[in-house]
Amino acid sequence: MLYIDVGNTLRGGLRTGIQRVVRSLAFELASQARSSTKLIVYDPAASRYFALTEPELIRSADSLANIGPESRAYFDLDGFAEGDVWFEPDSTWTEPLNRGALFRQLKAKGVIVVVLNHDAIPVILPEVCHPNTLVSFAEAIADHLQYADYALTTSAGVDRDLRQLARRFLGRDMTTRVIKLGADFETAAPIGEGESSFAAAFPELAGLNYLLSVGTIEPRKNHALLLQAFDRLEAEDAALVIVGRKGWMSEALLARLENHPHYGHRLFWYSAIGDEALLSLYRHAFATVLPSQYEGYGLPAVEALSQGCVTLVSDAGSLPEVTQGHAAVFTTGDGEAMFAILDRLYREPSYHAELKAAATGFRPTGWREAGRAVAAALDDIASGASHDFSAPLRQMVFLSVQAEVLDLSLASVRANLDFIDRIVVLTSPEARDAIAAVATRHFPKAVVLTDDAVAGVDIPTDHQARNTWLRKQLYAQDAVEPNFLAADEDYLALRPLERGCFQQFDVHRAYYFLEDMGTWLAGSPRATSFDRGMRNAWRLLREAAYPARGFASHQPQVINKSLVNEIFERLVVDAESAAINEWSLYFNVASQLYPHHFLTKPYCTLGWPMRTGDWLPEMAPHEAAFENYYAESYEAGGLFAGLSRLGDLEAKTCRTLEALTLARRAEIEASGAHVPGMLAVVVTPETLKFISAGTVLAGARNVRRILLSNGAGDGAAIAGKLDMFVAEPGGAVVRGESVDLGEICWMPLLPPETPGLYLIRFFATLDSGARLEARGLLTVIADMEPQ
Amino acid sequence: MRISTQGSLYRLAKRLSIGRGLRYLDLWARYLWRRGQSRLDAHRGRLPGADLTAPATAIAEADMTTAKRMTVASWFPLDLANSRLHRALLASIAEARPDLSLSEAKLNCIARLKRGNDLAVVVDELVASGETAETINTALYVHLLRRLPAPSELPMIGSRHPRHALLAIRSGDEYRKQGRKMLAS
Repeated sequence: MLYIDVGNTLRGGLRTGIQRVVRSLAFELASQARSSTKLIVYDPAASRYFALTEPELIRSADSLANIGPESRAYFDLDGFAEGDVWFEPDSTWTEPLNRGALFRQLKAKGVIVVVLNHDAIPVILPEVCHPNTLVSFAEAIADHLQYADYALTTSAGVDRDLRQLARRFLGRDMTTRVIKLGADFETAAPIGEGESSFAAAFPELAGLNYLLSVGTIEPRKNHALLLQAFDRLEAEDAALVIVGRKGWMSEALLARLENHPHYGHRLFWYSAIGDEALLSLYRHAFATVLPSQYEGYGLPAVEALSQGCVTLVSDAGSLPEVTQGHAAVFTTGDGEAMFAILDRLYREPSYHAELKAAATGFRPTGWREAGRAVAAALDDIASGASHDFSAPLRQMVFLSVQAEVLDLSLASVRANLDFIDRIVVLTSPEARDAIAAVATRHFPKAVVLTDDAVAGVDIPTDHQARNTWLRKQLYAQDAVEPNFLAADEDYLALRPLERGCFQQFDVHRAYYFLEDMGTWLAGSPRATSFDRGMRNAWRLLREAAYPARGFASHQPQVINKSLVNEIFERLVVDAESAAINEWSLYFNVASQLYPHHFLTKPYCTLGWPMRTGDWLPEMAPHEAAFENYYAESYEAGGLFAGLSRLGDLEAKTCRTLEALTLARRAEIEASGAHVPGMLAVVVTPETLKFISAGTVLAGARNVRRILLSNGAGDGAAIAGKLDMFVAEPGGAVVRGESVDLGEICWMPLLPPETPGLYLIRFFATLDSGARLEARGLLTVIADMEPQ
Repeated sequence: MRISTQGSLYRLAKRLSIGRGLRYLDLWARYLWRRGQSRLDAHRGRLPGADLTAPATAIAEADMTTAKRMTVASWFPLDLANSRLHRALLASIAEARPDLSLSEAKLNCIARLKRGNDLAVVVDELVASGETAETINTALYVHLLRRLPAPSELPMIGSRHPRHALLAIRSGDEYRKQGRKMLAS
């Protein structure tokens, strides 16, 4: 279902500018797909949305007052479903409903949010805007930049501006599509085709060759410059007609207009006229002039050209683009240049005829055509049809620098993934030859690319940023197919799998290992590059109202090329900002946008983590099929010691599950006499507080995590040194640990080997100079499980 | 291209068995030093704070998954209200339009109000932190009415207690008409 919010247009009751676009576009969209499109309005009195029962109402109703109860079908936001599209073409910055809260709620339901951006003038050119517009627009555009899945823009210029804003203020890009607006007046007919009809409607213009300026009276439209030029024109039949309602910061200009000696004779201001009259004015004008300081689109210029009217525009914003060479263009703010063109027009009929011919040659887009194009764009966004999820999966794409490990991995692929018949490997220039030798031994037509060839020299040194940046560049390569299995060199396939484990027709399976990346404490008290990548992905995803599961499952995953490129293009804009977990980024956004093309499942990888003591998986690998290979795991004392690297799946699974059970028993699950509970320290600038509950199993193997929580609120910085000691009742200290406070989330506690009651003490010295202390008791009980 | 997140605890355990004696000595030395400092602090009357703070209570009462989420968020708070980006855009506008008088303090207040769950609590906190009535009330206007105070309202903005301003805005027609409805049912 496509929902189009048209409330602001009906609330305001206008028919010009953005409101003209909304009325025309919304009507076309709703008419073309009546059963799957709703034109909706928020009713603050009822705190609910209603849908217009007839699309025609968006064109015929002047305002909300004209829409009676019988034409309002109220509905609740609960009715939204995954895959629905929310389209916002209106100037919603003055709408009652907070857009951020609304978008968050919609996205939580899996709705795709699409906005139509007309311009970003209040941010780009705040000097010419009303203060209240600046205030309200800032909030609305912030919500568009943060939450919109897609943005449609009315011109390439607006598109560029919007994406620059996203990069400047958010460090991201936006996924945009430029659309064309219509320029026809479908519901209007000119007042009369003949001169006599026009003269009857506008007798004051009889015998005048008037210049026409259409637009709200406000500084950006630059009427003052036009008035200056008009004053200098010597042609006796020259006149100026200004059409537009009174806007902001316009008092001085209006006073100048109304006190002008020609006002009412050769200078006219029509503050409110209908489409019919405007159409006639275009057709009979000597020329239409838009001297604006900026235009996101410049609808009057397009409308004028559509009526074959000679048109002059400044080169501001999108005006040269939308007039497509059919208008005379002068430099923005250059009154002399504008005057020169106008003066020449009146003096040289041949020049006027030349511009008239140019205008007549203009081929405008009609609203019906514009509606069809926008409908196609929205349909494509909603369906994901352009992404070709069903293209056959037969290729694997690796990052690799260790030929020996890649050899093992490819052998496992050859043995178990028989639907894979081609590979692409990205490696370093130094490792290229060795990697190529291994790759071509297993896959004779393997494509081997090097970092410098795909990513140039601007490759980040941070591990996570490097991986994400390289994958972004790699996935855009021609050698990569529409759907492929992405992998690292150390992902081993341990049993035969069919293509259906990854792709069933147009549905891709995505494997996650963590329900919520917001619970990722990091594998070590000191955060690694991987941990920071997880955290950055979590922050980016949650703040943009996407789910945040952890998909870095260390197993091959199916990726759609065009969608991953689209997502990375938007969210990984440069090498510096690439320290984001790429797997989680892709699958969370992709599965939110196209829920019908993704099936998420728990991961099926052994060896992730290498040891359960490194970090405690919240779920066990399900129907294990892959192994995240570590050579250390096969050394004496390792989890897989004595087992075959490419076999022994059953034994490996058993050992993994046993280790997991032991680890969970120590920290999470109650077993026998042991009742695990929370161990945490809350630190504030003034206080240290230890929280202890339950029992602790004796022995270093039953390592526990003491959560370190920042109690200062709002993430205020707390830095310093924290020491922890575990002492026997007699005073002998038996365990201790020391960490740097800052951004760490936990510290390890290796329980004493002997059961008993222990004193645990914490001493913190903060950078502020504060010395804090906390203490508590630990009840350590015997671990009855065999070693 | 492997990820090196693992092994820290393993390394720690190894450390315990290698050079255990030295490590034990180090442990004792640090413990005695810390304990001595603590006693000194006690003599000076600097007893450590021991009140159970609200975050401690929340963590103590949470299940493990929630506690982990709270812990991570305590160091890395999320901006779920999009206040950071909103503030940055307003700051950019304020720089180009000094006539708006949108000072840093006002921008900070707007961001705080936006992030807060309970506006009355945030207002009280802002008052307690020493922000002026003009600053807080202007921020309330921007946040709740999406406009700056009109010139005629400026005397009131500078003198009215922010809690009263909050009440007045929320009970007014303008707020009802275009106020900040957060969610639709």
